[in-house]
Parts: sequence; structure tokens; C-alpha cells
Amino acid sequence: MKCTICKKPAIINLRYSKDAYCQQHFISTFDKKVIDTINKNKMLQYNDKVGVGVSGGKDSMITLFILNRLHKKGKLKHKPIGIAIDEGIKGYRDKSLVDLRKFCKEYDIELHEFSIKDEFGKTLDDFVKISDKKKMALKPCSICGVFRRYMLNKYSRELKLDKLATGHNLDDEIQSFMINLFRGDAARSARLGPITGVIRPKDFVLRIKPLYFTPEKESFLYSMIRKFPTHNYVCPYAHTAFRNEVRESMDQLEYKYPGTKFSTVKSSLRFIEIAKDAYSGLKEINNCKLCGEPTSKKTCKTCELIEKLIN
Amino acid sequence: MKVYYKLQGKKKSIEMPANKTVEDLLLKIKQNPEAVLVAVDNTVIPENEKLKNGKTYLIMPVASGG
Ligand code: SF4
Ligand SMILES: [Zn+2]
Ligand SMILES: [Zn+2]
Repeated sequence: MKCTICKKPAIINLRYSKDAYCQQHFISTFDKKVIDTINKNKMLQYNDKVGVGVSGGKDSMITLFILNRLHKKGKLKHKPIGIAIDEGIKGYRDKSLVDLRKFCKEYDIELHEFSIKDEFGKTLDDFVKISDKKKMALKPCSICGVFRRYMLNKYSRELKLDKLATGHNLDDEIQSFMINLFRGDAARSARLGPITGVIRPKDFVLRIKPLYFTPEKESFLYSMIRKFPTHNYVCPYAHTAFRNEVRESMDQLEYKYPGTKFSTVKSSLRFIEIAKDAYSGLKEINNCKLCGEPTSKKTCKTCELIEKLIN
Repeated sequence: MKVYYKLQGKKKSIEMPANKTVEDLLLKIKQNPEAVLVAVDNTVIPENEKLKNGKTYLIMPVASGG
């Protein structure tokens, strides 16, 4: 199998586009796709102060790496910074943070770490135990997701960021979309898409996802070739997620019918747009009476969750 | 022919008919070619490459949770 561009031996065959690439051309087309995603979706402006929500995994490292290069090339005024949330997941986040610090040191990138324990008094591991004991039927990922979103937004605002980039890739996004669909919660997909969060600009930092059209398989290869210091540790709670089953089903469909993932994401984009139109403006945004963070109710989801877990 | 494969730190050998590809190997050991990358001699290769007798294929699942 030969590279579509230079005819050297290929390292990867992309069945969905019928292209095969050697290492050099894999990297250059990958970079170009990410930059195109940023430009076509108007994700960034020259003056933006950008943070990247980083975990120590490959996707957020790639995002930070590519944005940092944009800065070096003079396309972004400020050097991007990393924001990491330490959920307190023993044997996982502690290890992935080691990778992350190494990465940030290597590329001389400012890293800000915030922990769930400092914020809410207990680690995610503690909260998961509490929720099990109380038979609350809460998945670890649901607790984790609520807290992480809250903290990322709060600290992005405190750090005066204009944009918060995350490493969500094509597979992550399709999974979220399908999960919402399967659970009868399609309206929730109004929150997906390459750019999110514009309701009340001073409260919500705009989220951007430069890897929106990048399949996970390709981000894995990219990070491997670039020798990013990530072990891609797997969260011990990940296997409890419905998400894994959705991922497997999507991989099977993609294998049998190449291109399925891209056509799914294409339809989802149309749908997300319609959902955004339909649901925006319906909600009034207040400040949570307990913590002051923006919410559509009287108390925010995070404070509600804390209340349930602790009392 | 006999080839070796390494998956999640474990190395195993498997007997394969001649002229089979990496994809055939993956299907035989119930790995979806869509969900893994395969390397041989420290180089990543496309799934449609022919298997070579005696070689060790490193199979890397690409999904990471969290
Ligand atoms: S897999 Fe779930 S619990 Fe683990 S880091 Fe991700 S969201 Fe949090
Ligand atoms: Zn090439
Ligand atoms: Zn609150």
C-alpha cells in the first residue's frame, strides 16, 4: 500500500476517504484538517486568550500542541495555557497528570491545576463511594462530568480566557450524540457541536473543539508519531459507561460501511443546529443562589448534586 | 505460517494460512480493525498488508476512556 501523495510505503489507510498516507503526509494532512476546522468554524481570533482543558491524554495534548504552534507562527497573539482538573481518581488521574506536567514542561506551556477535592471537599473516588452507599444510581461519569464542567467554566472565567478548547474528537462527539438519541434526550444535543456556549457571554466561556472532525484512531497515531509523553491511561470508571458499547457499535458499523462516522457527524451537525435554534432563548440564565455560578434554575446542577451527595 | 501478536502486554502465537493480511489476523482474534492500530518492526502498517512468517505484530487499541 502506497501513500496517495508521494507513493512511499503507507502507514495508514483511511477507508472512508480512500486515501493512504506515509508518516510525513499523514502528519501534514492531519494538521491541515485541524486548522481547517478552526478556520471554517471561526473558532479563533488573533487576540483571543485561549486555554485548553487538558487531561494528560493524547487528544488534549494534540490540541494544545497545535494551538501552541499557531501562536509560534504568529497566528495567535497569546501563548495558550493548559487547565487541568484533578478529579481525584486514584491510579488514573494522578498518573496522567505526571504525563501532562512533563508535556507542558517540554513545550514550555503554563499549566493551571485545580482539584475537585479542594473545590468540593472530597475526591471523585469519595463521591462515588458515597453515591454507591446511598444507592443513588448515579454513574461516576455523571458526577465527574458535572463537577468538571463547572470547574472548567469557573476557572476559565477567572483566568480571563476568551476561549476554552477541548480535545473532543470525532468519535467522542458521535458517541455523545448517539447516547442522547438512545436515551430519549435528543434536546441535550443542542449542547454539542464544534463551538458551544453563547447564552450569556460574560458567564460562559466559549468552548471550541478543534479535533471535531478527527477520528480517534488518527489522533492516537499522531500522538504516537510526535512522541507525546502520554500513556493514555484508561479511567477505572470508564468501563461502567454506556459509552463504551456505543463506541463498539459505531466501530463495527464503520468497519462494515466505511464513512458511517463522517455521515453520522454530518447529520448530527444539521440536527444540532436545529436543536440550538429551537432551545435557545427558552431558558433564562440566573446566578445560582448557593454558589453564584450561572444556571437556568435557582440552584445549579453542581450545588444540587453536592446537596444530594453530602446531606 | 506462524505469526506472533502482542495485545495488552501479552504475547501469543497463532497459526495463519499463507497470503493472509493483518486484517485477517485481527478478525481471527476478534479485534475490530477500526478500533486498533498495528505495528511491526516499530512501524505502523495499514491493515491490508500481508502477514509475514515469524513476525510479531503489536496491536494497539486506540480508545482511551476519560
Ligand atoms: S471516564 Fe468518567 S469518571 Fe473517568 S474521567 Fe472520564 S468522565 Fe470522569
Ligand atoms: Zn507521502
Ligand atoms: Zn451552584
